[in-house]
Amino acid sequence: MNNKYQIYMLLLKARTFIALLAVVLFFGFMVSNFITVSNLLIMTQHVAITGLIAIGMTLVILTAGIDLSVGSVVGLGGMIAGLLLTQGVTFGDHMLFFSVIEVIIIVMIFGGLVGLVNGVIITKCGVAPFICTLGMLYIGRGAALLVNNGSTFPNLVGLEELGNTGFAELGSGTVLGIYIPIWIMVVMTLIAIYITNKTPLGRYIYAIGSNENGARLAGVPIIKTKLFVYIFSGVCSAIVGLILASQLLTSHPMTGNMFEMDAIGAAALGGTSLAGGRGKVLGSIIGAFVIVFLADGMVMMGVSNFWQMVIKGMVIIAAVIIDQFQERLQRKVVLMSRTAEVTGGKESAA
Amino acid sequence: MKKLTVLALAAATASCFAFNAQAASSKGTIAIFVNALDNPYYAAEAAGAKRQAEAMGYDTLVLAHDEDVKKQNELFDNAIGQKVKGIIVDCADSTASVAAVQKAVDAGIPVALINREIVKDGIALVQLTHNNFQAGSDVANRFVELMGEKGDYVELTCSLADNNCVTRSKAFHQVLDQYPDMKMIARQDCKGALLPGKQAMDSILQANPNIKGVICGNGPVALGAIASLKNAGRNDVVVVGIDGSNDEMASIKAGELKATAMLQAQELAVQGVKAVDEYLNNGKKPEKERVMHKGIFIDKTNADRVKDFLYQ
Repeated sequence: MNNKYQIYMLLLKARTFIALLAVVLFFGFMVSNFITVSNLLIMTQHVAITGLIAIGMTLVILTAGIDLSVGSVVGLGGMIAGLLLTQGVTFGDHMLFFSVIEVIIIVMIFGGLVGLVNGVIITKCGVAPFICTLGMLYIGRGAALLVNNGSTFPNLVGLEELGNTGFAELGSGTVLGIYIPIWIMVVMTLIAIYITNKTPLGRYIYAIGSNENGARLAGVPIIKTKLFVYIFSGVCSAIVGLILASQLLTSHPMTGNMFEMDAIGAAALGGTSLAGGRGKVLGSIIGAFVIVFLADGMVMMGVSNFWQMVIKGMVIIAAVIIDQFQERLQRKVVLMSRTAEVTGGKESAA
Repeated sequence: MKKLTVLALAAATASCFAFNAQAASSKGTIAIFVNALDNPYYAAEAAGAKRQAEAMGYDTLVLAHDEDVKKQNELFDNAIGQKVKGIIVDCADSTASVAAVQKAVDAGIPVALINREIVKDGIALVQLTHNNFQAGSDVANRFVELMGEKGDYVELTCSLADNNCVTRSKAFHQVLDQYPDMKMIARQDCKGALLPGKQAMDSILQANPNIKGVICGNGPVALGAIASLKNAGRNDVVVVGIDGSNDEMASIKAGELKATAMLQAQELAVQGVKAVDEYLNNGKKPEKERVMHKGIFIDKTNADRVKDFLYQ
């Protein structure tokens, strides 16, 4: 009896991964060229965009918060990169241009600052994360549109004389045959996994999400921890803004619209509870793989975009339903193992 | 400190009144409602109408309804409340916008529709649209030529929820389906935007590496497809689109986008304002309510004559 539950539990725990396998196998049979190295690389490059945002989002959700401003930060970050690369900064008569590396660092710092503002408003002013970041969603998108009055910054190739060429490398370049955005995703995932599993900060994040008052009484630095997760999320979004501007060689102010929903979907699919305190970064990444592979596979199959939206929604809801099953089953298994311990103890005593 | 705030508030209020007084001395306000101001097409449309109206001595109010019928309705209510003189609108939906337009007309405000029509006649002062069918056919004809009348191609539609997009797609197929050696092997809707265009192209290129051409429903989608092809190192694929933004012109000059059709966004807006002005001054309605404007075919030879959707 107990064993049966254990197996169910294992299957449920690995369900995101099983879903991913199912997606890959289904499209592998249905679409020629789906399982080829080049296609898997291209799709993973798409995953990096959703995945990077999902990493930051997961940390925020683990503290029982939410960051709706990520998509806007993507758009605004890209626009700032475009502005710096094409027009530089003007001080009086002087125009200052930055190298690509400097632009990347500036935009990442900017993303962190947006996160910091979110964090400060949430912790110091007591505004609910949903409301605060919803406000920031509008502010960020409006600001992105204001940067160039609604227009794009096209052709971000840079100029040899200014020494700011090579921006395309960030989004489309490769290292050891693998696209740079994929490497970035891998590195950020490892950092986030290290933080959540190996550091006190990670424990604090889970503690706040499970029981904020309890955590406070236990001496967890609530404010610092929350500031960290929002800053981390802002930086992740800014990186995505840079990657997209680099891939398209254009900054478009509406880029990243609705990305927050894909990231939340990936986190939910990966078993992160929106109530906080439960979930894994790796799960969200696998969730991102499922969402993107599904979308790309349907494009390759020629499924209409309208159906794609319907199917994506159904998959996310199904994932959360299964999540509820797991929670219930988990309680049952814990109960059963306890009774087994108790009865087992009695027998040995007798 | 408190006094200062009060003073500042008073000053702000005073300046508001001053602004209103100034507005009253002009010929009144013309409201301009477009879909979105982040799209170069709608931005050019709004700019064209604004410039023309201000040149004629009107104040302008430029707002976007984001293709949201409810928001558009609220904008109309506000405009009626403000007693504007006229409304220029690129409407949100051809059937759902009828009521809003009717409401304004009932309040005695003439409405000129630009770019998108409504299904009912006799309400709007004038309905100015692009000939999307002709524009689509012109582009498709050049596409056939560039493809050498044969080969596999992909169609990336802009947004099939938009009537104009459906018309363009129909026009493409009216031409392309006559050539039995040209095969459409994939078709995908890209929401009219850059990034979906790029990502769809990425995937389609993986499924069908042998494609020779991509025909796109609007400019951003075409530019997205080009970004994808560039990353894949495919310079041999023919890409054409419809729209005519400055970004597309740059791409045409660089030899990446092979052809497009420029929709005369500014011209339409200017004509709309003129019709409203004529009606306000002389009470004369235009002879024909529905007028179609031609899309101007653009390739490398005439790309430098286009700026902000104006052909010179």
